[in-house]
This record gives sequence, C-alpha cells and structure tokens, in this order.
Amino acid sequence: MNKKSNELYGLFTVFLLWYIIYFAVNSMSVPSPHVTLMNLMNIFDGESLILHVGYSLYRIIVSVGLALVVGSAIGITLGLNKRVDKVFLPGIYVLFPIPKAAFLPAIFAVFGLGDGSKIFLIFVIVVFQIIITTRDAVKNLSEEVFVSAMSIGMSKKDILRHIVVPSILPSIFSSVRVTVGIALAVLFFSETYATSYGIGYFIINKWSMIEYVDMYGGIVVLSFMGYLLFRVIDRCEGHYCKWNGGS
Amino acid sequence: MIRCKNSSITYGDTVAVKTLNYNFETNESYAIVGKSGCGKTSLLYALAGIRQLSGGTIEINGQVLEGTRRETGIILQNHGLFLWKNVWENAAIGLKVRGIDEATIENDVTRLLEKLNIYEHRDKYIHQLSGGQQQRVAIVRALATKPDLLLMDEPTSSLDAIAKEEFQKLILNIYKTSELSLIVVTHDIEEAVFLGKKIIVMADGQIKGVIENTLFGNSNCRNELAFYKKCLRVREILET
Repeated sequence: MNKKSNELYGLFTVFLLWYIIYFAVNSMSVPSPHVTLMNLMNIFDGESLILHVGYSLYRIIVSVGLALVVGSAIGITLGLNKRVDKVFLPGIYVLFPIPKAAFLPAIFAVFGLGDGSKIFLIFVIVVFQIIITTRDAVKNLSEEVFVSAMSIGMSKKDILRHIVVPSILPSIFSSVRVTVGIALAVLFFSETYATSYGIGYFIINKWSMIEYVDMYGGIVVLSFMGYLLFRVIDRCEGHYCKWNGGS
Repeated sequence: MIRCKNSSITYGDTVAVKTLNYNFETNESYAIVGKSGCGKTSLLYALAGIRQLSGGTIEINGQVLEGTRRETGIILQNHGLFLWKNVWENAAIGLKVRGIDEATIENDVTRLLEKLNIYEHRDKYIHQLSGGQQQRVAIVRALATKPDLLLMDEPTSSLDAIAKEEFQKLILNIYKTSELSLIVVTHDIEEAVFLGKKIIVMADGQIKGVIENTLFGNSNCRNELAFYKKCLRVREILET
C-alpha cells in the first residue's frame, strides 16, 4: 500500500467510526459526517472561519516555536554539563507535572487577557517535554562521537554545531510532534476565555449556542490543522534528517 | 619522537597503564598488541591527547602533550564517523574546523577520496557504505589534515577476513608512501605482525616485550613460514 492509500484508508476509518457513533447515539449532539462536511463549506463562506484558523495557527506556531528554542537550549545545556544537570534537573522534575492552568490568574496578572497569556500558557506546558527529550538525546550520544570530535581538534562551538545539534534532530522532531498534539489541546482551552477569535473560541461558542453541526465543523477544522502541522514537521524531518531515513 | 616518561593512567581505583617508560621513534611503525583490558587503548588515547595522564608525561617532538595535537590523526575502532554527514562532509570536516579555504579542501579531499577509491560514494551517508568503505572514509578524514602521527585503535575489528587483509595492505601502502609515524593498537596478533615494524606486547598495563619485526614491509609475508613463527613469538610473550 502506498502513502496516499494509507492516508485515505486512515480517513475512511475515522469517518466510519464517526458514522457508527452517529447511528449508535442517535442524538442531535452527534451530527452525521456528511451533513457536517457540507455545512463546513457554508461556514467557510459566511463566518470568516479562516480568521479563526489564522489566530489559532499564530498562537500555536509562536508558543511551540518559543518552547522549541528555549527547551532545546536548556536540554542541550543539561545534557552536556553534568554539574548544571545535577543542580537543575530535580527542579524540572518537580515543575513538570504541576498543572500550569492553575496559575492562570498569575499569568493574567503578568500577560493580560490577550494573546500573551494564551501563548505563555501553551509555552509553559509544552516546554518541559522538549527540555527532557533533548537532554536525554544528548546524554545518549556515544562517547566515541565526542572522542572522534576531539581527535579532529573541534572546539566546543564546533562540537555543538557539527555534532550535538545535527545528531539529536530526530529526537527533537519526535518531541515536537508530541508537543504539537499537546499544544492543540491546550490551545482549545486557552481560547475559551477573553477572546473572540480562534478555532477553540469558535467551537465553544457554537457549543454554547447548541449549533452542533457548526461545532463539529470546527472540530474537523482543528483536526485538519493538526494534520497539516504534523505533515510540515514530517517534511522538515525528511529534509534535515535524510541520514536517519526521515519520512 | 614520542617520549613516555613514567606515564600512568588510572580510572578511579583501576590502573589501566602502570608507570610506562618508552620512546617511539619518528617515522616508524608500531603495533601494540594485547588482550582486552591490557591498557593499550588507554595508552593510544593518551598519545592522542584525548585521555589525561594520571602521572608522568608524554612528549611529542620535545613538547609536553597537554591536549589534542593538530598534527595527530586518529582512526577509532568503529570508524568514529558522523552518521549525519555524508562521505564528503566527513572527509572534509577536519579541514573545515581548521579554517582551511574551500578550494584547498576541494582539492585535498578529492585527491584522497580518489586515491582510496571512495570518490564515487562522496554523496552517500555512512550507513549506506560497507564496513571497509567506512574505514576508508575514516582514513581520508585522518589523512586530510596531513598528520605526522597516525594512531589507529583496532581499525579492522569490524571487518570480515578478506576486507581486513585488504585494509591492512592499504595501511601498509599509506605508511610507505607518506612521512608519518604509525601506531596501531590491535588484539589481532597477525595484524600486529603485518603492520608493526616493532611489536609492543602489553599486558596488565605494562609493556611485557618489544619484538623487532624484520618481515615488516612485505605485503606478501603471510605466505612465509617466518610470519607465523613471529606470531608464535608474540603469543609466547603474551602468555608468560
């Protein structure tokens, strides 16, 4: 089976499951897939759904991008420096499982009710994932790689540029995939307050107005957003990690 | 010349190399042979400036060794190539980090890749090469920086028998056509006799014996009975 067939098969399975649930539940709270999709065309025409998608994409890209830069830098530092790792890792382990949403009032106080607080909330939830994955990837590099680098006369900067960063890229891409999934879930939550734009706001607004067909349309759009983001990550991995058989 | 004066290497409570005093002559070929754990790799890494001595000094050409040396090339047991770089990038990396200009890199690396019959694979990644090809890329990377000292840590341990002998002949040829000192660490007695003009037998962190090898330089020496008698002599020293 080729890649396109696999994707179609995957879509078919999802829709089949949806139909099964639609018939089993038999309630207006679960509209049929074909009605939802046909209605989606109308929403795109009338409701500036594209604007909602744009706001959500902006928040996701900025927050995940920041988490990637900050998380990778911290993870690499912890991975390369035993002393720093010993001092800071216990703190990271303690902070990681804390429900960051509980600090929303504090986040509002610092960042206000606008995009800043939404982006920061997503960032602070997903950055720990990237820190730990990056740190572990660096620690798993074999000693021989560093011996080889030293034997060539590489400086610490060279080792970072030519050894550490390229070799841990597959792990970082893998981590970003998981991070995007979590970020989309947090995005939905973060768009339920103090905003009139975003796919999360669209979904919750339709839910409150008992417009379930529109609501499910929004869910389909959110899902498709996630699919596109994963595809972009796959493409980037395929380009930067050719040596690893990147897809 | 390399002078080891009371050189010792310790890992915690484990003494890998005991107080070692030995001089390696310039432009000679040495094979250090011994069982696993005898300290030969630790000694090699110390000569490369990668492992710090716990005691004593190593001098190369009159200068105390305090770290890696630009004129020393090393080939590691599992080639030590970077999987995320292709053949060309691996071969050129030593020159690139030294700030050599692109034209010189292009010229030198092309010449070496062609000499070792690996040029046609220059765009391939390391995992796409055979074991013998990988080791040839490792040699190109080491030779590209024009070393005066070439160190090898069990360079043929991952190769099959035929590839091993071909690689050994290649090393011999490189040594004969270059002005460099060669030190090969191996647990393979035949390889030591083939590649070492002087064969240093190590055990328990010490040099147990040094054998002068008159057969050295003859790439067909495996056809002679004297070759196997030499191997027996090495074994005798190892087993005493």
